[in-house]
Amino acid sequence: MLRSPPAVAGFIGTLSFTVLAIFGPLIVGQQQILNTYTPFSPPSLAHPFGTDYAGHDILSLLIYGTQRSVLIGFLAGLFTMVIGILVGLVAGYLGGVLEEFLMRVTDLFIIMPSIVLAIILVSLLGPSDYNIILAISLTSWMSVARIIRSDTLTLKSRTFVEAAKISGARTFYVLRRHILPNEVHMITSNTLLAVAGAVVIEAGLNFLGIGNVSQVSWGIVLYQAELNGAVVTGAWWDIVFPGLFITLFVLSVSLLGRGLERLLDPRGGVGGVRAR
Amino acid sequence: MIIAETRDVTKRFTLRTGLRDWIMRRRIILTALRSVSVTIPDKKIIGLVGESGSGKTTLGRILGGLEPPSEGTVEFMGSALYGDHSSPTGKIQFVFQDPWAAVNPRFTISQIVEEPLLLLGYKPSERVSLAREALSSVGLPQDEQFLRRHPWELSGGQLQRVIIARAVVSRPALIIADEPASMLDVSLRIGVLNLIMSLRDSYGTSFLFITHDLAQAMYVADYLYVLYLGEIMEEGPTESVLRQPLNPYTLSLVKSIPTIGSKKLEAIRGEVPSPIKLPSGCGFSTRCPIASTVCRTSHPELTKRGEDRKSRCLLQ
Amino acid sequence: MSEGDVLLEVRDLCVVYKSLDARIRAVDHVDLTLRRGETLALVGESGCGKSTLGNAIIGILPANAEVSGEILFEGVNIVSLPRKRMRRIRWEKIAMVFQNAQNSLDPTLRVGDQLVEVILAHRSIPRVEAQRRVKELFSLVGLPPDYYRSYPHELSGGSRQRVIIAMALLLNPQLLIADEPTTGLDVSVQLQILNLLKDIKQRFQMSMIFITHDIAVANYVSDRMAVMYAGQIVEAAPSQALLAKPLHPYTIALTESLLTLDRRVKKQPIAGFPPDLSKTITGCRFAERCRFAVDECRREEPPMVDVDGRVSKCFFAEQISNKVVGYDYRRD
Repeated sequence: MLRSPPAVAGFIGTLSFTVLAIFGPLIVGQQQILNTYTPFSPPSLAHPFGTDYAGHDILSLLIYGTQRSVLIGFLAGLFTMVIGILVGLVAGYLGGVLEEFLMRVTDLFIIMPSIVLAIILVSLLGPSDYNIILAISLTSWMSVARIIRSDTLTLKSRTFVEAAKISGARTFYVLRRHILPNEVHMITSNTLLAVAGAVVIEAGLNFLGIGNVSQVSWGIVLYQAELNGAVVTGAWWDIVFPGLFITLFVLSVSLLGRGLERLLDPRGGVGGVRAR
Repeated sequence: MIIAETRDVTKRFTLRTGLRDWIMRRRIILTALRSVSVTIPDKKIIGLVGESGSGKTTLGRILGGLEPPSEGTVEFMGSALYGDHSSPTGKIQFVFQDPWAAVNPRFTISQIVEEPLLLLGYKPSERVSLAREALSSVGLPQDEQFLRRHPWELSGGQLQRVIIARAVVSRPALIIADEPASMLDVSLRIGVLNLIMSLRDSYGTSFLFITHDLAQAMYVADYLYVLYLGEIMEEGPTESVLRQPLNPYTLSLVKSIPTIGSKKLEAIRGEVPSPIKLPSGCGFSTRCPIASTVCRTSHPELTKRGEDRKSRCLLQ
Repeated sequence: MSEGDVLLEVRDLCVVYKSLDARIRAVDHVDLTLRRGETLALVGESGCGKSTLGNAIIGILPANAEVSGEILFEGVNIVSLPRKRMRRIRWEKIAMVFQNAQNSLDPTLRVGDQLVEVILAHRSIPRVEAQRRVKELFSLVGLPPDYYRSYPHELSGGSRQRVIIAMALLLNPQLLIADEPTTGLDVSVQLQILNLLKDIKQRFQMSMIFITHDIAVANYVSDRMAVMYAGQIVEAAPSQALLAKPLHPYTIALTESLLTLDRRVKKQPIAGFPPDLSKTITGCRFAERCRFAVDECRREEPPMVDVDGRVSKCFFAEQISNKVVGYDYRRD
């Protein structure tokens, strides 16, 4: 991975966002955010990202909000993976009626517009962060389930799985020792993609005003900008910089995911050229 | 002693069909084996040769307990293989053509070789010593450094030896080897074939050696079955079958292999018919150089010829 | 033989595959001459560079390959030719039959139409005429005319290989490169394809380079053979002579490990492995596995030795020829 510049960039980016997420609130206290009295002032030396409708320093807001955005993203991403992997493994390995059923349920979720579904879920459950995580996971596990199922199907028919079964291996053993370890590279990269996706959905939900508006996050900054007429007053910085944060995060995490996938792939990563 | 035996085994597969077949209520049946009886005695390498569609791999899977026959019986060590009794785990092992596909790329050499023992419930210390013994019997190193290696760090020939070590580690009575040396270079191929013969001699393991390559069968097999379109066309001790073939099919096959010094050879005409649409009469009648009208209408039986041989041909 | 008879000449050709951490010398200082109407077999085990050499001649090496030396086709060095001109030479003058016929055909098009497209891409003739040409070739390679409208997956392996051969012949090439064209085919079909290749070579008065790992097959189709080992040609001679009396220890080992149907003799594998081509190798490349090797062999690379009009890259070629060395071994 060290030899691939995009992967290194992704790693550095992800690491920076992680650091921001952990220490952000310490770096910029509540104090700093509330500190100015010049609403919608353009980027300057004092406020490199400008200020918003209430005169908050946007850079400080974004740094402060990183924790919430990233945390929701990671948890929702992980949860998405858990559901997707379970469904994919069971459907792919056990097959039969169960597979048929699970895949039809998957199809059902795919044809429903997921953002609408998430909005309905959050409105029903109430706008807490936990409910947002739940809504995101429940509406984005389908692609993971499909990928894991198709990979499990291929692995299941590989000779080494058959060889283990000849020697008396049971289902759980085969899944644990032969199937899952060979899916690690895919699971890793898809987790990171799921995290990226979750951050975008979370920002989207917040932007639409669904979610806990009393706390700062990237999506909330956008929501407030929209609500208080940043577009009308031409305060582009109030829209562009939060967008930039989201884009950079998604980009870093995706690049890291692709890099890790190659690194962990048993077929080409570590061994490199295989002497045939 | 007889290790394994099939009696009149027939195998049919119903193919996955398209929408049109489903609407027309048509089913496509592939006949892989037709009434095949083979016997595998102990301490012997039994050769099974055939072209594509001959059913040789299917017969190997049926004998190995992986695929129940449609008709007929299979016995292993005196009891029915597909009966109510538990399967003879660890007593039958396989060696496949592609060594790279036969190992989990994340496993180390010791994990690959020890896996059958692990699944049979051996203790760790026993596993280690038995694995080392198996590796030494196939001529591989047994040091820690080698045991910790991964498949990609080995050559194809070395890896195939690892797989053979895995196959013998549980001391099976029968090893089913499906083209075990065909993907290897000639210089390594001899090594693997010699190894199979030495394991027969030292452990008394029997082998079902499946191949398309008559020369490999000639080199290792004690007894030979020649398969064509799911039927045994000829059987007998390897050397006599390949040196003086009785069946026109075996003869044509032997004659179509270029050897050093051969100038112009006559190829068998046509291609192997599809096992979905078997020819009427003798299976080889569509390509046989001496076939007459009777061959296309009546089906020959496998009949005894001389001391120890059998052939399926109406014109003999 | 006069100069005009030479169709292809390879001079001091090197092909190096570059990867991030290694440089693999797949073809290393190879010289080769092919006369008009001749079939040359390139023989060797996997990784010896035979396919790379074939791919270099037709100009389809991957982007990470570094080529040096000359490949003279009808006197023109095609290594340094601009892409556009090389594309014209490919198919029109040099055609290739690959190992895996399945991948050379588009699964969504009828095979006849695919061949017609190839002609129309190179020649401005009416479609009807191209179709007539394709049908003509189909009958020539032994395909029934109704296969013209078949899709690749409807054909058997042997028939697909015939389609590929017909495709190679479309533009009347002067040189046909066949890379393991019968691998994966049934024994009975293999011979049909070999006979077909021999036959069309005569009929079209082409030259052919036949790449294979099987020395018996090589012997059957070729006039001359070149044996490759670890990126180099180690011996070249007329086929019958080469196999009757190999002059290089590697060729001797190869012929000895050939399994045959007439005798049942216990054979020994060639000990050891080919050298790692990403490392610098001093001395003879086969020395580590050679039973005749002396210290000199490990220190110095042997030259190509001329013996009775044949060449062998071995210090002892002459002695092997006079049965001074190796005689004892061949008796036991």
